[in-house]
Amino acid sequence: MNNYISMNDNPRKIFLQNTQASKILLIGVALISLIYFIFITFFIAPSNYWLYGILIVGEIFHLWQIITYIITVWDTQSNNIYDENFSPEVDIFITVAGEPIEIIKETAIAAKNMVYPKFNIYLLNDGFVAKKDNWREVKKLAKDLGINCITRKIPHGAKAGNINNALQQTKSEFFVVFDADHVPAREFLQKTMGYFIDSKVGFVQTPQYYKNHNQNLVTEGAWRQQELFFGAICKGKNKTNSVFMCGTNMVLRREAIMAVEGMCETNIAEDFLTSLFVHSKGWKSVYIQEVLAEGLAPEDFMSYYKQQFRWARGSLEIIFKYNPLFNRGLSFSQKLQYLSSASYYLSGGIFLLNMILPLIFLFTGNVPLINSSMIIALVFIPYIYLVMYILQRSSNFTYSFKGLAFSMSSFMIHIQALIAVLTGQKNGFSITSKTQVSGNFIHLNWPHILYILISLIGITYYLSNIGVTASLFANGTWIVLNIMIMIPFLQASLPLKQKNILIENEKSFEAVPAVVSKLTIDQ
Amino acid sequence: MNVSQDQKIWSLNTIIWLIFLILISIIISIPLIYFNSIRLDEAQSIWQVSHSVSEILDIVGRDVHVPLYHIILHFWQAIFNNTIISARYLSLFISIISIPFVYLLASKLYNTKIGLMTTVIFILSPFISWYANEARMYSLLLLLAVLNSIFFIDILKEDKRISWIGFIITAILGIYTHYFYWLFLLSNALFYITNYKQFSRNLFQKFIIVAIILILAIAPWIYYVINLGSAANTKPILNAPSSVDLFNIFSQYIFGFQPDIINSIILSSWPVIVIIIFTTLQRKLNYSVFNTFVIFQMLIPVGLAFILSYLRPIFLSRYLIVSSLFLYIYIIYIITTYFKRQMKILYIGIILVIGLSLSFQIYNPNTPVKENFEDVSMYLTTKATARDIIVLSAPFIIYPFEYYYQGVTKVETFPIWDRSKISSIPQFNSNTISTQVDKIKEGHQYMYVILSYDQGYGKEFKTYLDNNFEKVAEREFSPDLTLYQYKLKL
Repeated sequence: MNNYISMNDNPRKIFLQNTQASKILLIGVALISLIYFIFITFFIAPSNYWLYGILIVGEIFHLWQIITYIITVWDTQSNNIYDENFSPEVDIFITVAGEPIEIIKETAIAAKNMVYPKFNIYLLNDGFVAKKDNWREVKKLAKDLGINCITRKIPHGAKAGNINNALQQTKSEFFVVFDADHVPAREFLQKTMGYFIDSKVGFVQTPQYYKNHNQNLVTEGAWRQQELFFGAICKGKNKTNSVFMCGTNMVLRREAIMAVEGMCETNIAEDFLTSLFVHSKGWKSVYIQEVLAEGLAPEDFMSYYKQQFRWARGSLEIIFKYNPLFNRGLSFSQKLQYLSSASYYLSGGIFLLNMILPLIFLFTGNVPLINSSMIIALVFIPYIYLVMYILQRSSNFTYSFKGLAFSMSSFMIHIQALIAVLTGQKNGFSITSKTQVSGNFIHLNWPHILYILISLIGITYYLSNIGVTASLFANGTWIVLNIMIMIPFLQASLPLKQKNILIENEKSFEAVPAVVSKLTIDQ
Repeated sequence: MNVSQDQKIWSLNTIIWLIFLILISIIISIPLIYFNSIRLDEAQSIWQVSHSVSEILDIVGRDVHVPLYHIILHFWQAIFNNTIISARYLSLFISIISIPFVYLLASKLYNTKIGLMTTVIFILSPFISWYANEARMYSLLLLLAVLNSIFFIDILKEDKRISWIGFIITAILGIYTHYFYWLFLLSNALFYITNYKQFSRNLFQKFIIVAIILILAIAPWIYYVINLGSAANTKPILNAPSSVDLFNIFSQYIFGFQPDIINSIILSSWPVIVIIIFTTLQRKLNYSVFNTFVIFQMLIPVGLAFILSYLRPIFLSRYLIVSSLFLYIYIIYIITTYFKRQMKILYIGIILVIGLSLSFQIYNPNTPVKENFEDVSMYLTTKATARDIIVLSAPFIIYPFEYYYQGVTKVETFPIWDRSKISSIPQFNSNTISTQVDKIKEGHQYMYVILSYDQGYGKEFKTYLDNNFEKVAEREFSPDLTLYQYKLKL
């Protein structure tokens, strides 16, 4: 009778199951979003035109996000062609740039243990060019394990350059990319290669699962965001042939990558842009709805911050430098999907604009709309409820406030990335740390703290000048909401406590030896 | 729900808790039963049930209600006595019976923890308390909806004959208790239709048969009412609701009936709802389809009544009392999805807010729904003389007034209504104000005018009096109940 999730379900599966929301519900959400937008824009008189403008810009962006989300998750069922007997030779690239040797070792052992007729494992050792101390140990590890090691001596193109360098020295028709911390399942190749029976499939992506998601507030927040993306969103993108590479746990057809002159080295989110180029050449993509490799989430706030900045910067560059709308090789659906994914990182600026509206009221008394508070509430509440519900429903009820809070509180990262793109700042590719950097990173969240302080000053100022009014309660409540959204993010930036929680039936792949389990669980 | 689960629901510990909660409920009710003046609706109930059963059917048939409660109250009053106190005890009795069933319902929907937590909120709710002690049909309406929901859930879970029998009986009693019971049943139907895949396939046909039975069951009453025709103006005129009224309903469910200034602050804080929506984004532990049932019962009757009110204004929170219970269940469900410490803090916070609202509602004389007809009647009993005249407007407030009034002064209504001749109150006509007032004042020294329940002409009537007579006194006895004393020119 009840086919919804329970927490006893396997966390590797729940975000991938039962993601298909009712189409009537999706249409309903789209309609109410449109009604709300039209109502706010055309039926409520502006009070202050500047603030009204800010509000409407935000609403246009939100409408765009909701509509594109609904289009994305409209159909999350897959129908890709698959032949389990298709098993050509494959090269396995494990990209390495100074990660702890134990982590690399476990990934390499797990790769060796994969069940498949013929494959060659390569450690793509960038430790030398990245000036990491352990690059010699990596070479020794490869020798000890009896696998290949390609050590670059001339740096260029970061991770993409590393892969391109390996492509010049290898020859298999297909290659797999694993980050050093992403441990593949034994059946990884068995379950991925069969999709290449379709000669137009350029790459196959599998979910990026963080096995340490319960380790601390950062890993938890990072995973809560990922669940929605690797669940309903990627499944929906698969249907429209627009899923993009996520840098690891992926299999690529050499011909497709060579057709776009290798992995793109000009963008710090090389996987995203390379996918766009591959799609524009007419190649297809496949997303597999099963976790076939387990990785590590950034374990500290600084690493998370850098990772998010890199993704934001890379994605925003797509909009401003390689806008998919003007790419003739992409279908309309692909253009829409690339643009919606890239534009997600504009949400930070929008959130900031929305946040400052109640502050402006406290200091000036100005509001965007002539006060029709209860009428707005009448439209806004069902609108926001249904939008939140559809996020919940399409994520099989895994999407949480924490995920939302991390996404919205990353506003300053998004804004910094936007500024970097617009001003052409140079940002090097930095690898997400695989071990926790301990410390207090609250300073990174100075805008959040500033907001809280200004809010307190604003409320005091208003109370001393005007007193208690109904409008104060309304605006004060919005401020409280904004601060509540910031709290999980602020907590995560403080020195972290390890939670030492392992969900009962969450067992790592068989290939993971005890040493890794200890590393990821007992810290 | 199998036997072992039932046994778990009815543990000794729970029963002790429920007895304790019933006692609390009775204690809360004492000031409401004994120290509140009779209100208009109650006075009408008392007056209506003082007739024979056939006359009750006739009176209620012309009114906007169905007769089950009135018939029960008629026999209750016959056994005890025809006072407002005994009538209120009937409501309290029904409400107390509801308490274990509220617990059972919430437990069946979720678990016993939610069941017990909801029951605490239920007995402390200022909104529920108010109607649990009012001599009207709302506590019966709620009890029948709770029972019906229990049977409905049992049907969906196990499809047993006994559940069907209970479902049909409670549904028939419900539709004879209040017309709004249909909105509750409609919400059940909508829930089933939108979630039918989750349940046994053979239920659909059975529900259709039940729907036919219910239509056949209400048909004789509808036929009777149509043949009677309805009485005009015997009830306050309602306006089409606004968005404020919509939010007011949910505010009343939680905070009860509060003065305007508090109410405006509560309503202005509506973004709190957005906070709640955001924080309900929890990884759902054993998410149940019955969440949808609770949401439907919480919102759909209110939404439908709101929409229907644009055809004919019927939007009153008490008519939608069933939704209040589902709001409590949903609130409790939400907070139990939080971590234990957050849950405790929130639950204590809710109990404090509801408890304070209840106390404020009980002890604040300016609570908007209080109608102090007792004091105004007593005042006039001692103050007014046989040479004076008492005028009541709107005319139907004569029911609560005459319940207490024991004086010698003649009592008249404006517009003039001869209840012995016609059941309908005459329409107001501004051209006849002077004629009617002349007729009323004839031969009297002072005119005591009680204005309440303005039907759209109160201001005009008062302006006329102010312009033509000397106002010598004015006193507000409760919100919207004011006495004016005019000196007449003899």
